[in-house]
Amino acid sequence: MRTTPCGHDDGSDVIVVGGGAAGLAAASAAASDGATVTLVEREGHLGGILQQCIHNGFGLHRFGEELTGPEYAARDARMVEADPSIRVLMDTSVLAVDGDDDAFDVTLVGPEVGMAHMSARSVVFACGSRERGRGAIGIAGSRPAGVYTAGSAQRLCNCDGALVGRRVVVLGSGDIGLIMARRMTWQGAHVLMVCELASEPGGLRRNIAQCLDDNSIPLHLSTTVTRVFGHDRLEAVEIADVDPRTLVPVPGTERRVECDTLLLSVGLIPENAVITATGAEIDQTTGGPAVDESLETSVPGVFVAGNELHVHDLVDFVSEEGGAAGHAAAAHALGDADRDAAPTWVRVTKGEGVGSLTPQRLRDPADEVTLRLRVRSRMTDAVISIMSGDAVVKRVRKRVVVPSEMQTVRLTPADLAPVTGDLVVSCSEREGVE
Amino acid sequence: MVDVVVIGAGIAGCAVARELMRHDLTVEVFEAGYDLACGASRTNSGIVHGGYDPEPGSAKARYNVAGARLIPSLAEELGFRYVANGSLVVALDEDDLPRVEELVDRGHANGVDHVRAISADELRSLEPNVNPAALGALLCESSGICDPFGMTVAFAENAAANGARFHFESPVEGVRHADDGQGWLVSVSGRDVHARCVVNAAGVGAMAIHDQVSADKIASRPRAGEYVLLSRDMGTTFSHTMFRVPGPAGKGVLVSPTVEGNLIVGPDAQDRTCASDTWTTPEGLAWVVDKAHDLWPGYDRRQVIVNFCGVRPSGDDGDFVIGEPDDAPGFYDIAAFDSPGLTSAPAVAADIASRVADRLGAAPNPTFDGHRERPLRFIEMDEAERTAAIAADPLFAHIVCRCEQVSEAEVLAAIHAPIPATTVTGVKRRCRAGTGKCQGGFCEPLVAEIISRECGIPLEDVRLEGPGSEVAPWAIGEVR
Amino acid sequence: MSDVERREFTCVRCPMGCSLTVSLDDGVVTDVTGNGCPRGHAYGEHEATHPERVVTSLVRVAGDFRPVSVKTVSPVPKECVADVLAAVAATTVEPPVSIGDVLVPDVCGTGVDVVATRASA
Repeated sequence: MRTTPCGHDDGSDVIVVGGGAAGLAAASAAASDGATVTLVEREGHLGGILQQCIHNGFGLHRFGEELTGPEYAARDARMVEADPSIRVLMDTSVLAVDGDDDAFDVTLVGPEVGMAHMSARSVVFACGSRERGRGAIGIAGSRPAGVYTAGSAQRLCNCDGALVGRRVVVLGSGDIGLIMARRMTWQGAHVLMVCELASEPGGLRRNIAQCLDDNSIPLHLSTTVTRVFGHDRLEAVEIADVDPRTLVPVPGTERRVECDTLLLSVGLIPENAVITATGAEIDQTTGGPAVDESLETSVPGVFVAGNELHVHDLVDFVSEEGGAAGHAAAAHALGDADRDAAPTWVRVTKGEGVGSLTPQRLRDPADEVTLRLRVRSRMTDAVISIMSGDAVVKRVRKRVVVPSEMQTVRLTPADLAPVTGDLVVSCSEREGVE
Repeated sequence: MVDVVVIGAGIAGCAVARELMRHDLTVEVFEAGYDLACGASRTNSGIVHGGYDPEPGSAKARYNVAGARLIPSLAEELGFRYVANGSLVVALDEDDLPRVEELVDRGHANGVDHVRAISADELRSLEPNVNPAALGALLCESSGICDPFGMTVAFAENAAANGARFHFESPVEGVRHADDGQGWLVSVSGRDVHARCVVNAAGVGAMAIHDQVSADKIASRPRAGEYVLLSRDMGTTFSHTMFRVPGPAGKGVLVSPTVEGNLIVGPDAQDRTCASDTWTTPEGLAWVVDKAHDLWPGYDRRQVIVNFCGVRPSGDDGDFVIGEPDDAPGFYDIAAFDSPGLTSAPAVAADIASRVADRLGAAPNPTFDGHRERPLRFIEMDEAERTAAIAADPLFAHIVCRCEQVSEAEVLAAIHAPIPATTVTGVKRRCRAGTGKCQGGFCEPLVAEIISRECGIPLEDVRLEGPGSEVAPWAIGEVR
Repeated sequence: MSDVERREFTCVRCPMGCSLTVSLDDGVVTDVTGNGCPRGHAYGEHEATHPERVVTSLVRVAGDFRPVSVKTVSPVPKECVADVLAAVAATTVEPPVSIGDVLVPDVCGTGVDVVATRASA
């Protein structure tokens, strides 16, 4: 690793913003293609949120074994740190990315570089996501200690060795909430319940089984927290049934649950402040930028991967996506002679049953395409259909699909050969299909 | 014996303490809460009102107009944030138009500068996002917005720099005449502090303290106002502070940019029983949001980052209670100090301080220095300033709060300030770490770690706010 | 007449989370259905007869408030999870710690080691 102080214009072919799973993979991939890379990480460690995910279950697809988060991060971090063409800047924040195409001016600040500008030919954003908090979901009441996002409590516990409470209610059955319900139980706290606004769980089914069922923690569906009580420390929450159709609390069903901790696991939002300022178009359904099949945004030379693109459930796919973005960024930086500068675009749009989808457009013709999507509702015996006009591009059968689990569909050049216009991706139960 | 005891470290108490330090006096400030501005001073609209609203001839009218004139130069001198953004009182139906004229007249009667009625067209050119049904408005160019917490800190730190002493978590239990008839005994933390004069600036608690020393009771009640705060992405929706004309249906809510670039919406008005009843209600918040639509049909609930509630002392006759009760010489009230208390505080403070100084025959303080440096903020600096700041203190190069770009240097400045912030919320209020979109989701543990390190206390003892509000009260292994 | 039983599980071998139905006859697995792969079959059989879990937790490090994270290198019997957690919680280690260091050998007599999954300087 080069550690020379940064001059005003000490550039790289590729600058990767964020040293979590996506950013580490992007940096390694770009470097393996011959690009010089600067990886900018705002915290004091590599691996991002993986460092606080001390549970196992990471890496089954990628490594064929179940690792914990820190172990998974360490594998990628070692590769990045050992790569002479990757420079890592820790505790360093990217404030702005200006310019376009292959002449980017990245403004950053950190202990090693001070206040600095660095040029790059392409930029990969891999800033992850942030948690929705109490204000965003409008819970009323007082403002005592004891109300945390699940991720904050996870960091305090798993990184700082501090336990936030002993009688815990979890709102939201997202994966972090389920994992934290088990963690708190295993550290000796009493987790009274997990409440979920929706009529089905928000997290992976394995986490419902392993985290809640194993520990006899009740899951209350169609239930939410409407109010918090307590002056200095949380004393109780008010929960209420929710109309499954309108998601509005049902008057008269309010009841008080005495607790000292409320953990919120009510959704993640792509962290897109800096990338938005580059002018990259944002997709309102994913919350992240709109991209093409190479994960390039509407700003040429700006790529994005991982939870900043759309919120994933499996780190293995985050790494895969980071790698893809890294390769594409390197190709852009090093001058991809084959690439059409003014391609014909095929739009990819959401059809029936599909809630969110990436990429939002493809080159025509495109190479391999990885579609990632979330369905709107649970379906059994489902078929994901990719249509181009009346032509079937691909159909994939799934025994069950749920909104909490991202679906991946790969399209080969052969699949895409009959494409004559925009693609529509839909998902429905098999009745009526063939 | 202390010359002056000030009860309460909100905006009124801190402003009085600072003004008292112009004189050769010893001043002790006792605050029940854990920090400055624990009550209404931190949970209000942050509006520097022009002064066209209060009843002509009232204490509110007098102090409001005087305070509004003092604040711009005080903001420079004391380094707190103030923006002269002006305010608009919007007429939404025909009945509102005569009320606009009445308010303009009232403004003139109160001596408000730069207040006039404007047409619907002028309104729309000033504020394109206002309800298109608006028929006109009152425009007051001499009103503004400020950072109410920062303003309180500025007064307090300058008072402390000039010798005032502050005591926190020190609730005043009682005030009575000294046995020898000379001055007052103030019971606090199990001891009596003998003071020649007392300034009662205890916010909602001021009425109970007043009633201990005077037969002339103050009729008032705690009144809550609920707010929602929207992200900085929305701060440019309006440039002026937007009110609607108060009508038979009540006052309506205001929608205003804040000095930090957020957009604030509120308040409602609900009766509460005590100062600590600072909870929001689903109904109250729904009402606030509903009323916001009157002014701003484009209200975007997805941009809400936090809701909060402030409780203020509301006098039954609608006016402040300022000065010495007839039967309690040397005891000075700043009571029933609800809106426009923030705007009025500098004028009230100057008035009370000079009366106290006269009573005590105090000489001027020859070493008084009224200037306070405005704390540096990374987010507000240009690149040259950032480079210079980092050269002077490398911790400016470490961003702790990503949403608001707050550096570690700013966190340390808050922790080691003249009146130190030793809580997560105390740090947050001073330097904004944790006030952005993620509301501390990322930086709250980091700030807690820094407080633990800097104050030499275990992480489990780091508090969010007052006693009992530890962020993470147990170490792993303790519970099992 | 033999004691026939059907039990439902959610397979946790991978994120698919297949819903398994395991048929037992006198405590002996006769059939597993609902699994999407052979691993699911094995899981169902295992879960119905002798369930096991990998335990992940935290071990305190002397002189540092930051703990190291740990795991059992292989699954331990489900009924031992509470004891394993207690044994881990009672442990304090001296730094430095590297990933893979054995911090509690043969935890609770299970024959399984508890190892560090995060380093501590």
